[in-house]
This record gives sequence, C-alpha cells and structure tokens, in this order.
Amino acid sequence: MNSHNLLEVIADSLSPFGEYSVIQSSKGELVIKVTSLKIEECLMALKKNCGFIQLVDIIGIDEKLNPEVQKRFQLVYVLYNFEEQIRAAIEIEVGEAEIIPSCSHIWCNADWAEREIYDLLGIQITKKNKITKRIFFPNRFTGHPLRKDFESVDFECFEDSDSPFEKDTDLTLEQMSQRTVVTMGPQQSGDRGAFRLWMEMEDDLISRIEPELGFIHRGIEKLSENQNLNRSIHLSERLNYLSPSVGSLLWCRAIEEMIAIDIPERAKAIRMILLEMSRIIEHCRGIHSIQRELKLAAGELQFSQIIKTGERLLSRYSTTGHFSHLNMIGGMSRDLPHFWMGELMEWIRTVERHLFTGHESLKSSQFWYDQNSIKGIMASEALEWGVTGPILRSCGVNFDLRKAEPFYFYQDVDFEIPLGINGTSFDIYLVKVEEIKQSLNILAQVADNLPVGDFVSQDQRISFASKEKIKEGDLGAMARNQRLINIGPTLPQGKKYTSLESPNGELGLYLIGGNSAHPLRVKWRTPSFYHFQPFSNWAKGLSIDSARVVFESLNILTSEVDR
Amino acid sequence: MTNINENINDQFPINFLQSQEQVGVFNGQSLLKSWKNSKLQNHMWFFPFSSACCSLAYQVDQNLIVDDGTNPLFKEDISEVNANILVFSGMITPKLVPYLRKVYQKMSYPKWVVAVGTCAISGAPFEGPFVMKGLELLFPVDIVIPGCPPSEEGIDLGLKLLSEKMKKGICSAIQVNSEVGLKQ
Repeated sequence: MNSHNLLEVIADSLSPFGEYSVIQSSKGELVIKVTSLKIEECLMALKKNCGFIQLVDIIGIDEKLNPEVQKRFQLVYVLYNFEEQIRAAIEIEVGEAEIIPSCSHIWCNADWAEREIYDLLGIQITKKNKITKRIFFPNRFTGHPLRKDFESVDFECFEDSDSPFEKDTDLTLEQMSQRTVVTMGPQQSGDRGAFRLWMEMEDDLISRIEPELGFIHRGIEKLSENQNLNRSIHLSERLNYLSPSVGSLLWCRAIEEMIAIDIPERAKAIRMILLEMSRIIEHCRGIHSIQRELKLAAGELQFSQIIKTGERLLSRYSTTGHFSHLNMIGGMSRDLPHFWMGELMEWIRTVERHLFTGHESLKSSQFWYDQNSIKGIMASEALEWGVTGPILRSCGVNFDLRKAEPFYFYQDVDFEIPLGINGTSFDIYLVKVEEIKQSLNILAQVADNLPVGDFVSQDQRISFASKEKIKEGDLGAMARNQRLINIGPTLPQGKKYTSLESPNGELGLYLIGGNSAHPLRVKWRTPSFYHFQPFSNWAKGLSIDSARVVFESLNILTSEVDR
Repeated sequence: MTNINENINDQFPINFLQSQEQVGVFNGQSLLKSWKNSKLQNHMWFFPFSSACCSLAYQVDQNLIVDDGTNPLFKEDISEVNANILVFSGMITPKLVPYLRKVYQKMSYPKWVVAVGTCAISGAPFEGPFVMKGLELLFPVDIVIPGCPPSEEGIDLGLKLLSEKMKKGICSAIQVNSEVGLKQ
C-alpha cells in the first residue's frame, strides 16, 4: 500500500461522515480538514481502516485574533501510521459553546491531552457521564490561561488539594477499611522535579495510583507567544534540563524549516554531535538513578564517571555552564574550540571503557536482574498509550525517528536500532546500553568527516552584517542589525509539526506563524507527558519499592510534563 | 582598653566576640546563647526543596559523590520538622505556595531560609502570570545565591555566609518566649 492508495482508503472511510478535504505536503504529511460533526466516527475510521494506530498529540488553538475564522477554537489531532511512516493532522473547528466527544476510548493516551485542552483553553471535551477534570490547575481555579484574553493568576486562591480517588462502590465496608491513602511529594529526593503521587494501598501493594501535576507549570507555551523567536531559545532549553541542547535544537530547526533557511553543513554536524552526546549522558543518568534507587554499588562509579566527563566536555565547548545557549536560529552561536575534537575522541574511548566494565558488573548481578524484571509492558499497550523512544523499542517495536524521518546527516551515517522483547525495565536497560554504543558509533563517524567552513548561516534574514560594513558607514547594514536585535526573524504564515528522536522519545513542536515576529501558538509534545500517563496503570499491584524502579526506568521529568 | 581586648582574644575565638557585639549585652544569658549558636552550627539540619533544574547544581553533587560525611546536604530521610534550614530552589508556582507555607510553619526554630537560583529570587527566566516573583513574598529570606543555575563556588560561598550568620546568631525568624530554641 503506497501513499496514493492510502489517500483512496481515507476517501472511502471518511466519505460516509460528511465533508472533508485532504492536502498532502511535499514531505508526505497529510492535512485532513473535517467539517462534519461526526468527529468520533471519523477518528475511529482513521484508526481501524487507515492504520493510524498512534495518537501523537492533540493541539488546541485559540483563533480569537484571526478575523477570517468563524468559530473561535480549532482542534488538531496528530496521528501516526507506522506501516507507511506517514503523519496526519486532522483539523476540526470548534465553537465556543460546543461540546466535543472524547476519543479516549479510541486511543488511551487522549485522556490527559483532552484534560490539558480543557484546562488551558476551556474547550469542553466530555466522556460519557463524566465531567472533565483539570490537569495542571485545581478545579476551583477559574479562567483558561492559553486563551488570548487571559490576564493573570490569583496566587491566594490556591489550597492544598484533596484525595482524587472516587469511592469504589463495589467494595464492602470491610475491604474499604483495609485501604489507606498515602501521598508522596511534591518535593522529591531525586532530580525529577516536583509532583505528587496519591496512592491507595491495600496491605503493602498499590491498588490505585493517581499523579497530581502542575506544581511547576511555568506556562512556557504562553510565554513563547509573547516574545520574539530568539528569546524563547532559553525556554526550550529549560524544558528538559537534563539535556538542554535537545530542546533548543528542535526549536531552532523548526523555525529554520518554516523560514526555509539552509544551515551550513558544519552546524548540522555539530548539532548531531550535541544530540548524540546528550543521548549518552541522559541514558547513563537513567541507569544511574535506578542504581541509586536500589542502593546498588556495582557499576555505579562507571556510569557516574561517564556523566561527569560528558558534562565537563560539553561545558568546555559552551563555556557558560549547564545551559549552553549553543544553538541559535541559523546555526551555532560559536565554533568548536581548538583541540575539542581530540578531547571528544578521547571521551569516546573513556565511555567505551567505562560502559564495558559497568555493564559487565550489572549483567552478572542477579539482584539487578530480579528487581528490574518485575513489570513488563506489552507492545500493543505501549502503542495505545503513545509511548515512544527506548521504552517502545524495548517492547520490540522497530521504530526510531532517526531512521523514519532522517534529518541532517542521519541517512548517511551507519547505525542500528536495538530492540528488546519483554518491555521490562531490564530490557529498557539493555536497549539503553546498546543505544549508547550506537551513539558512540555515530559520534565517531561524524567526527571523522566533520565539514569545514561557516558554523552559522549568512542569510540576510537572520545573520548580522559584518563589522567592516558598519565601519564603512553602511546605513542598511546598521538598520538590519538593529532590526535583528530588537525584533528578530519573522515567522511566515503556516502551521508545522516538527519532531526529532530525543533521548527520552519523540519530542515534537507544533508552531503556528502569522507573518509576525511572535508565533501565534506554540505546543510542545514531550515524551514524559505520554510516559507518565500509563504509569498509574502499570504500577497497580506492585509494592512501592518496585513501583519506584518502574518509575525511574520510564525516565520522567516533571519539567517536561508540566511545561 | 586594647590590652584587655587582646587578652580576651586569646581566650575566646573572634567570632564569639563579634556575636557579643551584635547583641550588645555581655552577661550570662548571652554566653549561653553563643554556646547554643555554635551548637546549632555544628548540627545543621537542611531541608533541601527543589522544584526544578537548580537542584542539579547541588543535587548532582549529592548523588554522584560518595557520601563521606562531609557534605551537609547528604542526609537521608529528612523531614521538615527536624530541620532548621530550608534550601529552596526552583520556581514558585501558585500550586506550590500552600505547600511551602506549610513546610515553613512546621520547621523548628530558629529558621533560616536560603533561596538558590534566579527563579527563587525573582522568577526571572519565567517571568509571567504563572510564577511568583520571589520567595521573599512568602517569608523572610536569609541568604540569596544567584545564577541560572548557580555555580558550585557560589553555593559554597552562600553556605559559608550562612554559617557565619549562624555563628553570630543573626536569624530572620526567632521564636519568642518558648522553651525550645533561642530566647531574645
């Protein structure tokens, strides 16, 4: 079935439900505009007949400032077809008082995405006989922050929240009395950020678990709407603070693709090096945090050494500490320092050595194997919940965005995708170790063929005029520099979903431009948001200790979840 | 007068004398107080509270370096009831406010508060409707460590300043008329 056939199948399955239109972009992405009211049936048909088995994200847009649109809101469902490796965006217009049926029975992961849309935009999405709950803000809070006419938050109205569990009517009084509610958080001992876990315990096993979010909701998306494009780079770095250069890489790449700027080859290679280095460091952090959780000394020193030396190498390049600000629109902010490549090659050898000894000692530890193989994840389950990245690959699904949608030089370098079988945290560990080896492979290949030349694009729209021209007194060049500092590049009209394979999974960015310096809507699709959601299902029936191991192996960061 | 001062300097450490000057009274009560101060300083109980990335600056240290007993932040099973010092880092969102107030109330007297990072000081990188502009709007802050994220040297310096403050007995929140803690 090729893409032409897919269009016919879509036409067949959508035609009974009213009007629609399909546009295919040059890259093969589909945009389907549905005007009928049978949204639920349309989405069901797309999943069952056309193979769009994964819901990537749901995006809500407030179109109040757009005079051409009749209805105030718009919903965009981003779907993915694994067979054809095609992404589709289904656009629906929604009026202010309209109630949209929930699609959480079609894709399980739609639940949190819909709650977020209700919370931030106030679009009513209802399940059968159930009221939509807020996700970041408490239920007593009034107002919807992502609306264009939202003003401010009253800090005094917040109170400590109550237990989120509804009473289970099937239980007898005696069973009810055996259950106790325990909370964890909001402050945590690790570096995962602030969140609270509500747990209902039966003896020492978890019977129900419910995470409470929004403790560090900073409104990164709202802030990015109100400032120019250059100033949001630091916000994207703080999205996932364990690997800051990945977020800024995606932000810059999305804008470069929308403005249609081709960045120099050297900048592409340097960005690949940054991405693979962050992958190695974050995988090691993930493994190290489980070791810390289990208080296992075997191999701990080796993995912590990889993290330390890697961070040191990155800070040698950035010279500004943890948040590097290395990526900028049009390339890199500075060139590689002298002799840095030599240090990188040395680091690759160090990582290989440490990884070998660390992996040998962990592999032979029976305790490590037993603790990590308690809970397995089925591949079908993982696809339903929108899980991506190393966790999806540990279930045996052969999918990596670096292979499916290669950017920069990923189609030229030689690497393989490691796969697991059972989806346990031990399989995730094995996949991560193998991915570190493949990343080292990529790093070595890029370092061997590092292109020479400019590290930032010389395009007039984004780069500064040279100093010589200013010394000559060129007024045009001066005006250009002034404009770039004060206003920055303009984003052309259009909508675009860009994504890349971050260490955690698929990191996506949905951008809407309107011929202005500010974007009209920014939406981050973060892997942690979709990995945290099924945790309440997977932790049922486990003890707290083993649930913590499962949690650490999912590598969830609350700064990514709350945004 | 100078001779007397020199004699006293031989007998007591300098910091002890400074603390007397600060209070301005030289009697039995303040001697007891300075002894209590030095005792507190040797038994610092931290309550590290990090809501976001600034924790990397000191928590990476805490997690990666093997515990040799020298790092004061490395203590397991800390509860806010035992702690004297709140080390807060990260942004203050409206949802976190009631929880922070509760933690500060439960802490034992005397209370010191250290704000680590730009977010805790002014909310700067995320300045907007969702983030509170500083920890000082909630309760008094003793030490402020700037940076995004703050450097390790900065945190060391801040903790040194804190220990000097503790030696001198300067504190933002001292309980009055109680059996526990300091009397003034």
